[in-house]
Amino acid sequence: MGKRTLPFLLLMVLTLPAQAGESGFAAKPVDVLARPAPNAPVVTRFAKQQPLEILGRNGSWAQVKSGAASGWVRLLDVRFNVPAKIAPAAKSKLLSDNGIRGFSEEDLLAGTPSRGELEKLSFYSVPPKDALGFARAAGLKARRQDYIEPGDYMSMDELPEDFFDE
Amino acid sequence: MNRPSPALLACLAVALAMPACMMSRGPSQEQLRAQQEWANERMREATEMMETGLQDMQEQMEKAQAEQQRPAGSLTPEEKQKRAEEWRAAREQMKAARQQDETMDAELRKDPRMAKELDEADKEHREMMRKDPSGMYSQFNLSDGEEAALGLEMVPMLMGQQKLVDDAGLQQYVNKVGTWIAQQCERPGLPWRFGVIDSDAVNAFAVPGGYVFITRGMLVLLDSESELAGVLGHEISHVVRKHHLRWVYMNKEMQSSMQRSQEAIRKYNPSMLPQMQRMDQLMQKQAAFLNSGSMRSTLSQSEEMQADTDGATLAWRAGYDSYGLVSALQRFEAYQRPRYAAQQGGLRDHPEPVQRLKMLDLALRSRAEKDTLGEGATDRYLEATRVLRDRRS
Repeated sequence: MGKRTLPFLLLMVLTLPAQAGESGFAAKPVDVLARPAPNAPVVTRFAKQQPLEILGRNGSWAQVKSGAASGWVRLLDVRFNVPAKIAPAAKSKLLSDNGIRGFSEEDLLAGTPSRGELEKLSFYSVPPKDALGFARAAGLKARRQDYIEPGDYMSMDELPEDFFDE
Repeated sequence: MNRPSPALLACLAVALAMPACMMSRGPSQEQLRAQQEWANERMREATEMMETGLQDMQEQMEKAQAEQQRPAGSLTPEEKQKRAEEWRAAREQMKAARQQDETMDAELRKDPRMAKELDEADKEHREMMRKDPSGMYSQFNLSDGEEAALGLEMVPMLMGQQKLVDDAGLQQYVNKVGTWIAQQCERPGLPWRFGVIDSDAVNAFAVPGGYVFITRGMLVLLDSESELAGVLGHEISHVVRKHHLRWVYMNKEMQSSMQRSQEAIRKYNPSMLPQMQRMDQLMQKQAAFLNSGSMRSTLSQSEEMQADTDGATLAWRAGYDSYGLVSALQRFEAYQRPRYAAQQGGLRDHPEPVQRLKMLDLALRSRAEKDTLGEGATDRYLEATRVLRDRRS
Protein backbone atom coordinates (compact mmCIF):
# COMPACT_ATOMS: atom_id res chain seq x y z
CA MET A 1 0.00 0.00 0.00
CA GLY A 2 1.60 3.22 -1.10
CA LYS A 3 1.12 6.61 0.43
CA ARG A 4 -1.53 7.45 -2.11
CA THR A 5 -3.65 4.37 -1.62
CA LEU A 6 -5.45 5.42 1.54
CA PRO A 7 -6.91 8.68 0.25
CA PHE A 8 -7.87 6.79 -2.89
CA LEU A 9 -9.73 4.14 -0.91
CA LEU A 10 -11.47 6.77 1.15
CA LEU A 11 -12.47 8.50 -2.00
CA MET A 12 -13.93 5.33 -3.46
CA VAL A 13 -16.04 4.83 -0.37
CA LEU A 14 -17.28 8.37 -0.74
CA THR A 15 -17.84 8.24 -4.46
CA LEU A 16 -19.58 4.94 -4.96
CA PRO A 17 -22.75 5.54 -2.94
CA ALA A 18 -23.24 8.82 -4.78
CA GLN A 19 -23.09 6.99 -8.08
CA ALA A 20 -25.17 4.05 -6.91
CA GLY A 21 -28.95 4.07 -6.95
CA GLU A 22 -29.62 6.00 -10.11
CA SER A 23 -33.29 6.54 -10.76
CA GLY A 24 -35.22 5.11 -13.66
CA PHE A 25 -38.35 3.17 -14.55
CA ALA A 26 -39.44 -0.12 -16.08
CA ALA A 27 -39.73 0.08 -19.86
CA LYS A 28 -42.43 -2.63 -19.86
CA PRO A 29 -44.11 -5.03 -17.42
CA VAL A 30 -41.24 -7.17 -16.25
CA ASP A 31 -40.48 -10.17 -14.01
CA VAL A 32 -37.90 -9.38 -11.35
CA LEU A 33 -35.54 -12.32 -10.81
CA ALA A 34 -33.57 -13.41 -7.75
CA ARG A 35 -30.31 -13.72 -9.71
CA PRO A 36 -28.98 -12.36 -13.03
CA ALA A 37 -29.87 -15.52 -14.93
CA PRO A 38 -32.84 -16.30 -17.20
CA ASN A 39 -33.91 -19.38 -15.20
CA ALA A 40 -33.65 -17.74 -11.75
CA PRO A 41 -36.81 -17.69 -9.61
CA VAL A 42 -39.16 -14.73 -10.03
CA VAL A 43 -39.21 -12.51 -6.95
CA THR A 44 -41.82 -10.00 -7.99
CA ARG A 45 -43.20 -8.19 -11.01
CA PHE A 46 -42.83 -4.51 -11.88
CA ALA A 47 -45.43 -2.67 -13.91
CA LYS A 48 -44.62 -0.62 -17.00
CA GLN A 49 -43.35 2.84 -15.99
CA GLN A 50 -42.86 1.72 -12.38
CA PRO A 51 -40.23 4.00 -10.83
CA LEU A 52 -37.15 2.14 -9.65
CA GLU A 53 -33.60 2.54 -8.49
CA ILE A 54 -30.85 1.03 -10.62
CA LEU A 55 -28.32 -0.33 -8.15
CA GLY A 56 -25.82 -1.79 -10.57
CA ARG A 57 -25.18 -3.77 -13.71
CA ASN A 58 -23.83 -7.23 -14.39
CA GLY A 59 -23.34 -7.79 -18.12
CA SER A 60 -26.79 -7.69 -19.70
CA TRP A 61 -28.53 -7.57 -16.31
CA ALA A 62 -29.47 -4.62 -14.09
CA GLN A 63 -30.00 -4.89 -10.35
CA VAL A 64 -33.07 -2.84 -9.47
CA LYS A 65 -35.06 -1.87 -6.40
CA SER A 66 -38.56 -0.46 -6.05
CA GLY A 67 -39.89 0.11 -2.57
CA ALA A 68 -38.97 -2.96 -0.54
CA ALA A 69 -38.71 -5.24 -3.58
CA SER A 70 -35.43 -5.76 -5.37
CA GLY A 71 -33.87 -8.18 -7.86
CA TRP A 72 -32.54 -8.47 -11.39
CA VAL A 73 -34.08 -7.58 -14.74
CA ARG A 74 -32.68 -7.45 -18.27
CA LEU A 75 -30.75 -4.23 -18.77
CA LEU A 76 -32.87 -3.51 -21.84
CA ASP A 77 -36.03 -3.47 -19.72
CA VAL A 78 -35.03 -0.44 -17.67
CA ARG A 79 -34.82 3.19 -18.74
CA PHE A 80 -32.84 5.83 -16.91
CA ASN A 81 -34.53 9.06 -15.91
CA VAL A 82 -33.43 12.15 -17.80
CA PRO A 83 -30.26 13.29 -15.98
CA ALA A 84 -30.79 16.61 -14.26
CA LYS A 85 -27.19 17.69 -14.07
CA ILE A 86 -26.42 17.42 -17.74
CA ALA A 87 -26.91 20.19 -20.25
CA PRO A 88 -29.93 19.73 -22.53
CA ALA A 89 -29.27 18.45 -26.05
CA ALA A 90 -28.62 21.10 -28.65
CA LYS A 91 -30.59 21.30 -31.87
CA SER A 92 -29.67 18.77 -34.49
CA LYS A 93 -28.12 19.08 -37.89
CA LEU A 94 -27.04 16.53 -40.47
CA LEU A 95 -23.42 15.64 -40.05
CA SER A 96 -22.70 13.47 -43.06
CA ASP A 97 -21.90 16.35 -45.37
CA ASN A 98 -18.77 17.37 -43.51
CA GLY A 99 -17.52 13.79 -43.41
CA ILE A 100 -17.30 13.64 -39.65
CA ARG A 101 -19.02 10.79 -37.90
CA GLY A 102 -20.38 11.42 -34.44
CA PHE A 103 -22.00 9.38 -31.74
CA SER A 104 -25.04 11.61 -31.92
CA GLU A 105 -26.49 14.06 -34.41
CA GLU A 106 -25.62 17.11 -32.44
CA ASP A 107 -23.57 19.61 -34.30
CA LEU A 108 -21.80 21.41 -31.55
CA LEU A 109 -18.40 22.06 -32.98
CA ALA A 110 -18.08 24.95 -35.34
CA GLY A 111 -15.88 27.95 -35.61
CA THR A 112 -12.50 28.93 -36.89
CA PRO A 113 -9.71 26.38 -37.19
CA SER A 114 -7.39 26.13 -34.27
CA ARG A 115 -3.92 24.64 -34.71
CA GLY A 116 -2.82 24.98 -31.12
CA GLU A 117 -5.19 22.33 -29.89
CA LEU A 118 -3.87 19.97 -32.55
CA GLU A 119 -0.43 20.12 -31.00
CA LYS A 120 -1.89 19.39 -27.59
CA LEU A 121 -3.67 16.41 -29.09
CA SER A 122 -0.34 14.90 -30.13
CA PHE A 123 1.17 15.82 -26.81
CA TYR A 124 -1.48 13.88 -24.88
CA SER A 125 -1.36 10.84 -27.16
CA VAL A 126 -0.05 7.54 -25.85
CA PRO A 127 2.19 5.12 -27.79
CA PRO A 128 0.79 1.57 -28.15
CA LYS A 129 3.36 0.14 -25.75
CA ASP A 130 2.12 2.44 -22.98
CA ALA A 131 -1.46 1.43 -23.75
CA LEU A 132 -0.37 -2.20 -23.48
CA GLY A 133 1.26 -1.44 -20.13
CA PHE A 134 -1.96 0.18 -18.94
CA ALA A 135 -3.97 -2.87 -20.00
CA ARG A 136 -1.57 -5.25 -18.30
CA ALA A 137 -1.72 -3.30 -15.04
CA ALA A 138 -5.52 -3.18 -15.30
CA GLY A 139 -5.74 -6.93 -15.93
CA LEU A 140 -7.28 -6.45 -19.38
CA LYS A 141 -6.52 -9.26 -21.80
CA ALA A 142 -6.88 -9.15 -25.58
CA ARG A 143 -9.36 -11.67 -26.98
CA ARG A 144 -10.35 -12.69 -30.49
CA GLN A 145 -13.88 -12.26 -31.75
CA ASP A 146 -15.43 -11.73 -35.18
CA TYR A 147 -17.73 -8.81 -35.82
CA ILE A 148 -21.46 -9.41 -35.80
CA GLU A 149 -22.89 -9.04 -39.29
CA PRO A 150 -26.54 -8.00 -39.77
CA GLY A 151 -27.33 -11.47 -41.17
CA ASP A 152 -26.32 -12.96 -37.80
CA TYR A 153 -29.23 -11.39 -35.97
CA MET A 154 -31.61 -9.83 -38.49
CA SER A 155 -32.67 -13.30 -39.62
CA MET A 156 -33.08 -14.63 -36.10
CA ASP A 157 -36.31 -16.50 -35.65
CA GLU A 158 -37.71 -14.68 -32.68
CA LEU A 159 -38.18 -10.94 -32.72
CA PRO A 160 -39.28 -9.51 -29.37
CA GLU A 161 -43.00 -8.83 -29.64
CA ASP A 162 -42.68 -5.38 -28.17
CA PHE A 163 -39.80 -4.38 -30.41
CA PHE A 164 -41.69 -1.44 -31.87
CA ASP A 165 -43.60 -0.53 -28.75
CA GLU A 166 -41.68 2.49 -27.58
CA MET B 1 -26.46 -3.55 -52.82
CA ASN B 2 -25.02 -7.04 -52.95
CA ARG B 3 -26.24 -8.05 -56.34
CA PRO B 4 -23.77 -7.41 -59.19
CA SER B 5 -24.05 -3.85 -60.38
CA PRO B 6 -25.31 -3.29 -63.91
CA ALA B 7 -22.06 -1.48 -64.67
CA LEU B 8 -20.19 -4.61 -63.75
CA LEU B 9 -22.46 -6.69 -65.96
CA ALA B 10 -21.86 -4.26 -68.80
CA CYS B 11 -18.11 -4.56 -68.34
CA LEU B 12 -18.48 -8.29 -68.34
CA ALA B 13 -20.46 -8.21 -71.56
CA VAL B 14 -17.79 -6.06 -73.17
CA ALA B 15 -15.03 -8.27 -71.88
CA LEU B 16 -16.76 -11.32 -73.30
CA ALA B 17 -17.19 -9.65 -76.65
CA MET B 18 -13.57 -8.56 -76.81
CA PRO B 19 -11.52 -11.74 -77.17
CA ALA B 20 -13.19 -12.56 -80.46
CA CYS B 21 -12.13 -9.22 -81.90
CA MET B 22 -8.63 -9.56 -80.65
CA MET B 23 -7.88 -13.01 -81.99
CA SER B 24 -4.97 -12.78 -84.35
CA ARG B 25 -6.58 -14.68 -87.22
CA GLY B 26 -9.86 -12.96 -86.55
CA PRO B 27 -13.29 -14.52 -86.52
CA SER B 28 -15.64 -14.45 -89.43
CA GLN B 29 -17.87 -11.40 -89.81
CA GLU B 30 -20.84 -13.54 -88.86
CA GLN B 31 -19.22 -14.78 -85.71
CA LEU B 32 -18.32 -11.25 -84.77
CA ARG B 33 -21.84 -10.00 -85.36
CA ALA B 34 -23.29 -12.83 -83.30
CA GLN B 35 -20.94 -12.00 -80.46
CA GLN B 36 -21.80 -8.33 -80.58
CA GLU B 37 -25.50 -9.06 -80.67
CA TRP B 38 -25.12 -11.29 -77.71
CA ALA B 39 -23.28 -8.55 -75.80
CA ASN B 40 -25.92 -6.00 -76.79
CA GLU B 41 -28.58 -8.30 -75.45
CA ARG B 42 -26.77 -8.55 -72.09
CA MET B 43 -26.48 -4.80 -72.03
CA ARG B 44 -30.19 -4.38 -72.66
CA GLU B 45 -30.94 -6.75 -69.82
CA ALA B 46 -28.62 -4.87 -67.50
CA THR B 47 -30.21 -1.54 -68.40
CA GLU B 48 -33.70 -2.87 -67.82
CA MET B 49 -32.69 -4.40 -64.53
CA MET B 50 -31.25 -1.12 -63.47
CA GLU B 51 -34.29 0.86 -64.56
CA THR B 52 -36.73 -1.25 -62.56
CA GLY B 53 -34.32 -1.50 -59.65
CA LEU B 54 -33.96 2.25 -59.45
CA GLN B 55 -37.71 2.73 -59.58
CA ASP B 56 -38.26 0.18 -56.80
CA MET B 57 -35.61 1.76 -54.64
CA GLN B 58 -37.04 5.22 -55.06
CA GLU B 59 -40.55 4.08 -54.18
CA GLN B 60 -39.35 2.19 -51.12
CA MET B 61 -37.27 5.10 -49.96
CA GLU B 62 -40.11 7.57 -50.23
CA LYS B 63 -42.32 5.27 -48.20
CA ALA B 64 -39.68 4.60 -45.58
CA GLN B 65 -38.80 8.27 -45.38
CA ALA B 66 -42.35 9.28 -44.55
CA GLU B 67 -42.40 6.81 -41.67
CA GLN B 68 -38.88 7.24 -40.44
CA GLN B 69 -39.42 10.83 -39.54
CA ARG B 70 -41.69 9.86 -36.71
CA PRO B 71 -40.41 8.32 -33.52
CA ALA B 72 -41.72 4.80 -32.88
CA GLY B 73 -43.38 6.07 -29.69
CA SER B 74 -45.76 8.27 -31.67
CA LEU B 75 -47.03 5.49 -33.93
CA THR B 76 -50.61 4.22 -33.66
CA PRO B 77 -51.05 0.51 -32.79
CA GLU B 78 -51.92 -0.20 -36.44
CA GLU B 79 -48.81 1.56 -37.64
CA LYS B 80 -46.69 -0.33 -35.13
CA GLN B 81 -48.15 -3.58 -36.32
CA LYS B 82 -47.48 -2.58 -39.89
CA ARG B 83 -43.89 -1.78 -39.02
CA ALA B 84 -43.48 -5.13 -37.28
CA GLU B 85 -44.98 -6.90 -40.28
CA GLU B 86 -42.63 -5.13 -42.64
CA TRP B 87 -39.76 -6.14 -40.45
CA ARG B 88 -40.91 -9.75 -40.53
CA ALA B 89 -41.33 -9.63 -44.29
CA ALA B 90 -37.82 -8.22 -44.66
CA ARG B 91 -36.53 -10.98 -42.43
CA GLU B 92 -38.30 -13.62 -44.52
CA GLN B 93 -36.79 -12.13 -47.64
CA MET B 94 -33.36 -12.21 -46.09
CA LYS B 95 -33.80 -15.83 -45.09
CA ALA B 96 -35.07 -16.76 -48.55
CA ALA B 97 -32.09 -15.02 -50.15
CA ARG B 98 -29.75 -16.87 -47.86
CA GLN B 99 -31.39 -20.16 -48.74
CA GLN B 100 -31.16 -19.39 -52.43
CA ASP B 101 -27.46 -18.64 -52.04
CA GLU B 102 -26.95 -21.92 -50.26
CA THR B 103 -28.86 -23.90 -52.88
CA MET B 104 -26.90 -22.29 -55.67
CA ASP B 105 -23.66 -22.90 -53.85
CA ALA B 106 -24.51 -26.58 -53.35
CA GLU B 107 -25.41 -26.90 -57.02
CA LEU B 108 -22.13 -25.37 -58.16
CA ARG B 109 -20.13 -27.47 -55.76
CA LYS B 110 -21.26 -30.68 -57.42
CA ASP B 111 -18.31 -30.12 -59.74
CA PRO B 112 -15.22 -30.72 -57.58
CA ARG B 113 -13.12 -28.24 -59.59
CA MET B 114 -15.75 -25.58 -59.01
CA ALA B 115 -15.90 -26.46 -55.32
CA LYS B 116 -12.17 -25.92 -55.06
CA GLU B 117 -12.41 -22.57 -56.85
CA LEU B 118 -15.23 -21.44 -54.57
CA ASP B 119 -13.35 -22.48 -51.45
CA GLU B 120 -10.34 -20.50 -52.55
CA ALA B 121 -12.43 -17.45 -53.39
CA ASP B 122 -14.16 -17.66 -49.99
CA LYS B 123 -10.85 -17.96 -48.21
CA GLU B 124 -9.44 -15.01 -50.10
CA HIS B 125 -12.49 -12.88 -49.33
CA ARG B 126 -12.41 -13.75 -45.64
CA GLU B 127 -8.72 -12.95 -45.52
CA MET B 128 -9.27 -9.57 -47.19
CA MET B 129 -12.16 -8.68 -44.90
CA ARG B 130 -10.08 -9.69 -41.90
CA LYS B 131 -7.33 -7.32 -42.98
CA ASP B 132 -9.62 -4.50 -44.04
CA PRO B 133 -13.30 -4.72 -43.03
CA SER B 134 -14.10 -1.56 -44.99
CA GLY B 135 -14.19 -3.74 -48.11
CA MET B 136 -12.70 -0.92 -50.17
CA TYR B 137 -10.04 -2.38 -52.39
CA SER B 138 -10.31 -0.11 -55.39
CA GLN B 139 -7.82 2.25 -56.91
CA PHE B 140 -9.62 5.05 -55.05
CA ASN B 141 -8.86 3.70 -51.64
CA LEU B 142 -6.70 6.22 -49.86
CA SER B 143 -3.45 5.03 -48.35
CA ASP B 144 -3.18 5.29 -44.56
CA GLY B 145 -0.86 8.27 -45.01
CA GLU B 146 -3.26 10.09 -47.33
CA GLU B 147 -6.12 9.38 -44.98
CA ALA B 148 -4.17 10.69 -41.99
CA ALA B 149 -3.35 13.85 -43.95
CA LEU B 150 -7.04 14.32 -44.77
CA GLY B 151 -7.88 13.84 -41.10
CA LEU B 152 -5.25 16.34 -40.08
CA GLU B 153 -6.97 18.91 -42.31
CA MET B 154 -10.34 18.12 -40.78
CA VAL B 155 -9.39 18.15 -37.12
CA PRO B 156 -8.86 21.91 -36.70
CA MET B 157 -12.11 22.58 -38.55
CA LEU B 158 -13.95 20.15 -36.33
CA MET B 159 -12.42 21.47 -33.16
CA GLY B 160 -13.06 25.06 -34.14
CA GLN B 161 -12.87 27.22 -31.07
CA GLN B 162 -13.41 24.29 -28.77
CA LYS B 163 -10.60 23.54 -26.38
CA LEU B 164 -9.32 20.27 -25.08
CA VAL B 165 -9.84 19.80 -21.35
CA ASP B 166 -6.69 21.11 -19.72
CA ASP B 167 -5.90 18.01 -17.68
CA ALA B 168 -3.05 15.77 -18.80
CA GLY B 169 -4.06 12.94 -16.45
CA LEU B 170 -7.58 12.76 -17.84
CA GLN B 171 -6.46 13.11 -21.46
CA GLN B 172 -3.89 10.37 -21.08
CA TYR B 173 -6.35 8.07 -19.34
CA VAL B 174 -8.74 8.34 -22.32
CA ASN B 175 -5.79 7.90 -24.69
CA LYS B 176 -4.67 4.76 -22.88
CA VAL B 177 -8.12 3.18 -22.99
CA GLY B 178 -8.66 4.28 -26.61
CA THR B 179 -5.24 3.23 -27.88
CA TRP B 180 -5.58 -0.14 -26.15
CA ILE B 181 -8.92 -0.73 -27.91
CA ALA B 182 -7.52 0.53 -31.21
CA GLN B 183 -4.78 -2.11 -30.93
CA GLN B 184 -7.57 -4.73 -31.20
CA CYS B 185 -8.94 -3.34 -34.46
CA GLU B 186 -7.81 -4.04 -38.01
CA ARG B 187 -5.91 -0.76 -38.28
CA PRO B 188 -3.73 -0.73 -35.17
CA GLY B 189 -0.93 1.05 -37.02
CA LEU B 190 -2.78 4.35 -37.52
CA PRO B 191 -1.51 7.22 -35.37
CA TRP B 192 -4.48 7.02 -33.01
CA ARG B 193 -5.22 10.21 -31.07
CA PHE B 194 -7.97 10.65 -28.51
CA GLY B 195 -9.07 14.02 -27.18
CA VAL B 196 -11.52 15.13 -24.49
CA ILE B 197 -13.23 18.32 -25.64
CA ASP B 198 -14.22 20.83 -23.01
CA SER B 199 -17.93 20.94 -23.78
CA ASP B 200 -21.11 20.23 -21.82
CA ALA B 201 -22.69 18.62 -24.85
CA VAL B 202 -22.85 14.83 -24.91
CA ASN B 203 -21.11 13.50 -27.98
CA ALA B 204 -18.14 11.69 -29.50
CA PHE B 205 -16.63 12.01 -32.98
CA ALA B 206 -14.33 10.18 -35.33
CA VAL B 207 -12.25 11.76 -38.07
CA PRO B 208 -10.49 9.78 -40.85
CA GLY B 209 -6.94 8.79 -40.02
CA GLY B 210 -7.61 7.80 -36.41
CA TYR B 211 -8.67 10.96 -34.56
CA VAL B 212 -11.35 10.39 -31.96
CA PHE B 213 -12.97 13.02 -29.76
CA ILE B 214 -15.26 12.69 -26.79
CA THR B 215 -16.85 15.55 -24.89
CA ARG B 216 -16.58 16.24 -21.19
CA GLY B 217 -20.39 15.99 -21.06
CA MET B 218 -20.25 12.44 -22.39
CA LEU B 219 -17.61 11.43 -19.84
CA VAL B 220 -19.77 12.79 -17.02
CA LEU B 221 -22.82 10.94 -18.35
CA LEU B 222 -20.99 7.60 -18.47
CA ASP B 223 -20.38 5.49 -15.40
CA SER B 224 -17.76 2.85 -16.17
CA GLU B 225 -14.73 2.15 -18.31
CA SER B 226 -16.66 -0.52 -20.22
CA GLU B 227 -19.17 2.17 -21.26
CA LEU B 228 -16.33 4.44 -22.35
CA ALA B 229 -14.78 1.47 -24.18
CA GLY B 230 -18.05 0.92 -26.06
CA VAL B 231 -18.32 4.57 -27.11
CA LEU B 232 -14.66 4.75 -28.20
CA GLY B 233 -15.08 1.37 -29.95
CA HIS B 234 -18.03 2.85 -31.88
CA GLU B 235 -15.89 5.76 -33.08
CA ILE B 236 -12.91 3.53 -33.89
CA SER B 237 -15.24 1.38 -35.98
CA HIS B 238 -16.19 4.36 -38.19
CA VAL B 239 -12.49 4.72 -39.00
CA VAL B 240 -11.96 0.97 -39.52
CA ARG B 241 -14.95 0.67 -41.85
CA LYS B 242 -14.03 3.98 -43.53
CA HIS B 243 -17.59 5.23 -43.32
CA HIS B 244 -16.39 8.77 -43.90
CA LEU B 245 -14.80 7.91 -47.20
CA ARG B 246 -17.57 5.78 -48.63
CA TRP B 247 -19.31 8.56 -50.55
CA VAL B 248 -16.21 9.77 -52.30
CA TYR B 249 -15.30 6.20 -53.12
CA MET B 250 -18.72 5.19 -54.41
CA ASN B 251 -19.08 8.10 -56.81
CA LYS B 252 -15.57 7.82 -58.19
CA GLU B 253 -15.83 4.07 -58.56
CA MET B 254 -19.03 4.38 -60.54
CA GLN B 255 -17.72 7.09 -62.83
CA SER B 256 -14.55 5.18 -63.52
CA SER B 257 -16.25 1.91 -64.34
CA MET B 258 -18.56 3.76 -66.75
CA GLN B 259 -15.65 5.42 -68.42
CA ARG B 260 -13.77 2.17 -68.81
CA SER B 261 -16.78 0.45 -70.35
CA GLN B 262 -17.43 3.32 -72.73
CA GLU B 263 -13.87 3.37 -73.97
CA ALA B 264 -13.93 -0.37 -74.57
CA ILE B 265 -17.24 -0.18 -76.36
CA ARG B 266 -16.17 2.66 -78.63
CA LYS B 267 -13.19 0.59 -79.61
CA TYR B 268 -14.70 -2.85 -80.10
CA ASN B 269 -18.45 -2.65 -80.39
CA PRO B 270 -19.79 0.77 -81.43
CA SER B 271 -23.21 -0.74 -82.11
CA MET B 272 -23.66 -0.85 -78.37
CA LEU B 273 -23.14 2.89 -77.90
CA PRO B 274 -26.80 4.00 -77.83
CA GLN B 275 -27.55 1.42 -75.15
CA MET B 276 -24.50 2.54 -73.30
CA GLN B 277 -25.61 6.16 -73.31
CA ARG B 278 -28.96 5.15 -71.89
CA MET B 279 -27.13 3.27 -69.20
CA ASP B 280 -24.97 6.31 -68.53
CA GLN B 281 -28.05 8.45 -67.95
CA LEU B 282 -29.42 5.87 -65.59
CA MET B 283 -26.15 5.77 -63.71
CA GLN B 284 -26.24 9.51 -63.28
CA LYS B 285 -29.79 9.26 -62.04
CA GLN B 286 -28.69 6.59 -59.61
CA ALA B 287 -25.77 8.69 -58.41
CA ALA B 288 -28.10 11.62 -57.76
CA PHE B 289 -30.40 9.29 -55.88
CA LEU B 290 -27.59 7.87 -53.78
CA ASN B 291 -26.54 11.39 -52.90
CA SER B 292 -30.06 12.47 -51.96
CA GLY B 293 -30.75 13.31 -48.36
CA SER B 294 -33.11 10.39 -47.80
CA MET B 295 -30.67 7.80 -49.10
CA ARG B 296 -27.81 9.29 -47.15
CA SER B 297 -29.91 9.28 -44.05
CA THR B 298 -30.80 5.60 -44.50
CA LEU B 299 -27.25 4.50 -45.27
CA SER B 300 -25.89 6.60 -42.48
CA GLN B 301 -28.32 5.01 -40.03
CA SER B 302 -27.20 1.53 -41.05
CA GLU B 303 -23.58 2.63 -40.60
CA GLU B 304 -24.39 3.78 -37.07
CA MET B 305 -25.89 0.37 -36.29
CA GLN B 306 -22.79 -1.27 -37.68
CA ALA B 307 -20.55 0.98 -35.60
CA ASP B 308 -22.61 0.01 -32.54
CA THR B 309 -22.20 -3.75 -33.03
CA ASP B 310 -18.54 -3.33 -34.04
CA GLY B 311 -17.90 -1.04 -31.09
CA ALA B 312 -19.26 -3.61 -28.65
CA THR B 313 -17.08 -6.26 -30.31
CA LEU B 314 -13.95 -4.09 -30.14
CA ALA B 315 -14.56 -3.37 -26.45
CA TRP B 316 -14.93 -7.11 -25.84
CA ARG B 317 -11.73 -7.87 -27.74
CA ALA B 318 -9.98 -5.41 -25.40
CA GLY B 319 -11.25 -7.34 -22.36
CA TYR B 320 -14.37 -5.30 -21.54
CA ASP B 321 -17.97 -6.29 -21.13
CA SER B 322 -19.86 -5.84 -24.45
CA TYR B 323 -22.95 -4.55 -22.67
CA GLY B 324 -21.01 -1.44 -21.65
CA LEU B 325 -22.12 0.14 -24.91
CA VAL B 326 -25.74 -0.89 -24.31
CA SER B 327 -25.53 0.80 -20.92
CA ALA B 328 -23.95 3.91 -22.48
CA LEU B 329 -26.71 4.02 -25.09
CA GLN B 330 -29.27 3.73 -22.32
CA ARG B 331 -27.86 6.77 -20.55
CA PHE B 332 -27.67 8.51 -23.87
CA GLU B 333 -31.30 7.65 -24.63
CA ALA B 334 -32.39 9.25 -21.36
CA TYR B 335 -30.38 12.34 -22.18
CA GLN B 336 -31.90 12.62 -25.64
CA ARG B 337 -35.46 11.67 -24.64
CA PRO B 338 -36.81 15.23 -24.18
CA ARG B 339 -35.44 16.25 -27.54
CA TYR B 340 -36.80 13.25 -29.43
CA ALA B 341 -40.20 13.73 -27.82
CA ALA B 342 -40.26 17.35 -28.96
CA GLN B 343 -38.75 16.94 -32.42
CA GLN B 344 -40.56 15.32 -35.28
CA GLY B 345 -39.80 15.33 -38.95
CA GLY B 346 -36.55 16.02 -40.71
CA LEU B 347 -34.02 13.51 -41.89
CA ARG B 348 -31.76 11.88 -39.40
CA ASP B 349 -28.22 10.60 -39.49
CA HIS B 350 -28.77 8.36 -36.52
CA PRO B 351 -31.51 5.91 -35.68
CA GLU B 352 -33.74 6.77 -32.77
CA PRO B 353 -31.87 6.02 -29.53
CA VAL B 354 -34.43 3.49 -28.27
CA GLN B 355 -34.39 1.56 -31.53
CA ARG B 356 -30.62 1.71 -31.60
CA LEU B 357 -30.49 0.32 -28.10
CA LYS B 358 -32.87 -2.51 -28.91
CA MET B 359 -31.07 -3.35 -32.11
CA LEU B 360 -27.70 -3.61 -30.36
CA ASP B 361 -29.24 -5.75 -27.64
CA LEU B 362 -30.73 -8.00 -30.31
CA ALA B 363 -27.35 -8.26 -32.03
CA LEU B 364 -25.51 -9.09 -28.82
CA ARG B 365 -28.05 -11.76 -27.96
CA SER B 366 -26.99 -13.64 -31.09
CA ARG B 367 -23.86 -14.44 -29.07
CA ALA B 368 -23.45 -16.84 -26.16
CA GLU B 369 -23.57 -14.92 -22.88
CA LYS B 370 -19.98 -15.83 -22.03
CA ASP B 371 -18.90 -14.11 -25.25
CA THR B 372 -20.28 -10.81 -23.98
CA LEU B 373 -18.87 -10.78 -20.46
CA GLY B 374 -15.78 -8.87 -19.39
CA GLU B 375 -14.42 -6.08 -17.25
CA GLY B 376 -16.71 -3.24 -16.22
CA ALA B 377 -14.04 -1.21 -14.38
CA THR B 378 -16.42 1.24 -12.71
CA ASP B 379 -14.08 2.28 -9.91
CA ARG B 380 -11.13 3.06 -12.13
CA TYR B 381 -13.38 5.08 -14.42
CA LEU B 382 -14.97 7.11 -11.64
CA GLU B 383 -11.57 7.84 -10.17
CA ALA B 384 -10.08 8.89 -13.51
CA THR B 385 -12.99 11.20 -14.35
CA ARG B 386 -13.56 12.47 -10.81
CA VAL B 387 -12.07 15.84 -11.68
CA LEU B 388 -14.96 16.44 -14.12
CA ARG B 389 -17.67 15.42 -11.66
CA ASP B 390 -16.16 17.56 -8.90
CA ARG B 391 -16.14 20.53 -11.20
CA ARG B 392 -19.85 20.18 -11.87
CA SER B 393 -21.06 19.76 -8.31
